[in-house]
Amino acid sequence: MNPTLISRRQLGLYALSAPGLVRAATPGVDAPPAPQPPRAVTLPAFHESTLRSGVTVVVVPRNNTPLVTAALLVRAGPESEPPGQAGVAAMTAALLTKGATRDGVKKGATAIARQAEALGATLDSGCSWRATTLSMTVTVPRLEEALALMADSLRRPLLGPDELERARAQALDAMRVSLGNPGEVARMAMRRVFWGDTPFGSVAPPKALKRIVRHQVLGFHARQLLPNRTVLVLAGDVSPEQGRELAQRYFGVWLPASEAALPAVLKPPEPIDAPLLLIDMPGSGQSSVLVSAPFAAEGDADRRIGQVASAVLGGGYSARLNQEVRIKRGLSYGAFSEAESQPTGGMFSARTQTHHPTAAQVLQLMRDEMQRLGDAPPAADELAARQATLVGSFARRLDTTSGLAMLVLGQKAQGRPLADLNRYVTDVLAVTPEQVREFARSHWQGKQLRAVIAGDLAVAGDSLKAVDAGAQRVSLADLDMERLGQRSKR
Amino acid sequence: MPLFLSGQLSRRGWLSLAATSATLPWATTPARAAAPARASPIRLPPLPLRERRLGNGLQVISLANQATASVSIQVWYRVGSKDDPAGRSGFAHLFEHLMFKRTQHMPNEMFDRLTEDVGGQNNAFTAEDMTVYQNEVPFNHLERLLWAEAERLVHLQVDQASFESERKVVVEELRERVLADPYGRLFNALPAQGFEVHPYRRPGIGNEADLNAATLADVQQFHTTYYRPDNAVLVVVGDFDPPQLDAWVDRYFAPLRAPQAAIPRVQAVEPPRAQDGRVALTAPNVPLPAVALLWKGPRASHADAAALRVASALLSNGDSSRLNEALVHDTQMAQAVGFSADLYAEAGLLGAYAIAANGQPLAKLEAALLAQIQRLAASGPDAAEMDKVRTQLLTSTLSARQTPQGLADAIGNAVLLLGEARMADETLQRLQAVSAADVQRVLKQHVLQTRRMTVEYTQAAA
Repeated sequence: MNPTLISRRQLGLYALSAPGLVRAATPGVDAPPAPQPPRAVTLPAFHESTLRSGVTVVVVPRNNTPLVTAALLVRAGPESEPPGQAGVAAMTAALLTKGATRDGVKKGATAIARQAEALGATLDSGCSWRATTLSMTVTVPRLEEALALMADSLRRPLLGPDELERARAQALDAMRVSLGNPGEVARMAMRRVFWGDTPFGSVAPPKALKRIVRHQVLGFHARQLLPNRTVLVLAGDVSPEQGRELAQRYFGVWLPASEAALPAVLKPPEPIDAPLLLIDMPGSGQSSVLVSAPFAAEGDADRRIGQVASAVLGGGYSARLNQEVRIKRGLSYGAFSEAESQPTGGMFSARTQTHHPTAAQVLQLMRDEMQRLGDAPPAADELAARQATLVGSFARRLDTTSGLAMLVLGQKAQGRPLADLNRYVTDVLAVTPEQVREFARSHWQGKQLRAVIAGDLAVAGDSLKAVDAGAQRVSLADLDMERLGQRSKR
Repeated sequence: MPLFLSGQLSRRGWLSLAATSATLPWATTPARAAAPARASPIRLPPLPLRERRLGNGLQVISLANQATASVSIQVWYRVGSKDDPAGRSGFAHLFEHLMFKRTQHMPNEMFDRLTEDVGGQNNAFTAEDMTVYQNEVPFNHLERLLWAEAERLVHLQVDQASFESERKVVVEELRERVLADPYGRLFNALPAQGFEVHPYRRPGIGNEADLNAATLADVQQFHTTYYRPDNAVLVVVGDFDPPQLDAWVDRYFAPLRAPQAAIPRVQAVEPPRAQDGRVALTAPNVPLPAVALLWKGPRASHADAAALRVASALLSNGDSSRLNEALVHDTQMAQAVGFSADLYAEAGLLGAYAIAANGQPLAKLEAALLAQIQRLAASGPDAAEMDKVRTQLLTSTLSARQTPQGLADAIGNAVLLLGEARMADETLQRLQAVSAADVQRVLKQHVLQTRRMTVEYTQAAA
């Protein structure tokens, strides 16, 4: 990123605003002073090895604070659920922290929570695409106890029937809250609208949660959460030797009792035909507007270009979507985008919330911006600014033990070498404006877009006529999330 | 899940904030991991803070730290939602949005050019007692941010179009936080129910009518009244050279002049609550009913503040806390519970809340919350629980201060709420020194022996 470009642009603006006179601005007086010389982003060393059990261990030493983040990743998530078992992966992950056998003795959820929190941390579990995770951040003297707890929770969880019922009731209650929030409703629906009835389109509405039975959870744990899919990351005040030794102690000998399940048949997206789905939520406080489009798959050569293109559109406060929706027109508190890459395809999503009568206008604005990026390349300084945003966000993650751990897990979840992290900054800065334009042109043309608006459609009224040609309309009460996106069999 | 908000409103919904009550900065001596059976104590030497006060009244606090390649530049103004003018609820927060607009030497949104566009970030928040502008940039951009913060302090030039556009954004923020969120109306109502006299009772986000009544003249007036060097604290943390920082501060901030006029301050004093109260609120989309119990609490600098924070942690920090274990796990009567001690500069609010699990009556939850508080007050926490809370507080402190922004937040809070930057060092010591008997005493004195307001929150009839 060339700082001179920024200064020159600002000088141009000052010249325009000075009444009747074109004069150069003075840095540090009527213009910002120039920056000092920069330094390159430096990454810590990543020490990677594999235990005989098949578990991969990564140690990232950083000793300016006496903290360590310990994180486990198992490469299995909702995409690996057997058909008809939507929600089992997340339920299994939730139950990992709710009881385990420790030194031959069964410890219930209460005891495990007390043990974890006595270490000053929470035992957090997570479930996302191709990732079941456990993590804790503790002070150095607690590291071994934390690892012992995490190992027992992953390898010997009780997955008890009482805790399953508790977790189910809590998940149903949480789902009640989510289904009252237009943003959450739109996101869940878009999963189906864009990916269709494929593994990456899996959603677990209340009726799916109610169907889950314990043997499915036991099955997922036994046949998916296996050592050769597991990565342990230790980031913080720990040496490579200490880290490896601790990993060996708790994960070195691990013989799974069951065979792995057959791998899921992953599929590319199967979007519904309708370009827009309108979901009526009478009485909702705002409308959520969501637009999705194809994105690079995991192995695509233009994946990095796509990430930069996504940043140009919606990767920050100053990116195009927020400029048009919030800054210029005051239509929303914020509009932004994100992108996911899966082995068989990807999904780019732009989203925002707005007052009901302006939802159609906002939808058109977001679609137009996606089209515009495919028509003309971004200016060099605009691209440089968005590249700097990506680089800066990456650099800030290096400041914390949890940020470092998540960077490593992110690579491992996608099966990428850690050495790529050392190339991240160079790769981002190498993307050109023309590459961005070509990516947008080939991925984000009108016919490829799918949209969801969830809000009070009666209040939106006639404003929706501008966008509802060919739209599907349904009330939330009548919407069957699981059937949405299913193609009728011929 | 912390549901009690101390009214903090940030400019950007999706960027995370440091909680006002949480984080404390600490320099550290790394402890080598020998995997001992018992934890050896971690020694935290005092932060090497440097403090200056300029002739115009500006306070400058800095902390050089080479563990990062960034620098955090923050300006804390001693004005918050408690200072919203009459009929202008939400004004301090609206004004905060406007500080990102044009100045004499900067176009609109210049702060984003100076931060985001070079790999940094910026944000701002309005709380009850302060408005804070936060910037984090690569170390080599420090001077530019110092220039820019001085520039908007003295040369802000908001025009009518920007004013109206940003007001619309604030109204959308109000709709997103208060109206779209199923529990937004509840949180918004708590200060109004908890305080009876003090302007802390007015919600920081304001209301649509007051926001729409505000004028550009109000903006000029507010800027002149509160945005002055003797009402501000500049905090700089990260990778910088101290003599160079001092020279830049002298160049950009020393020439600014403080007006002669006195700064208006809130005079109201919140009296003790005379009797218990109860109110029922409804909203269109409430998936699960909730109940909140509110007690008036002491100010942040009160001697009992540390014990109240420890009591809060014992009651609701983590799954093994008293309320979570009893109401969420064991009896399954609540979807979520919490206890918070929101202590501001002049007064505080203590609260216990529960969101009911499906079908559970609010009366049962209310009784259960009180029973747990009574139990903790009567027989006190055991040694393992006290150890746990001390460890949790230490770990969260260390975590938060890994970043320049986390350290700067802690310094700013210490100055604004406790009076001095060096209180950032002392606060963790005070927390660690709290005893089980202290916990019992403060729960009796500030909660069980005072009057309360109960707020019930349910779905409106169709």
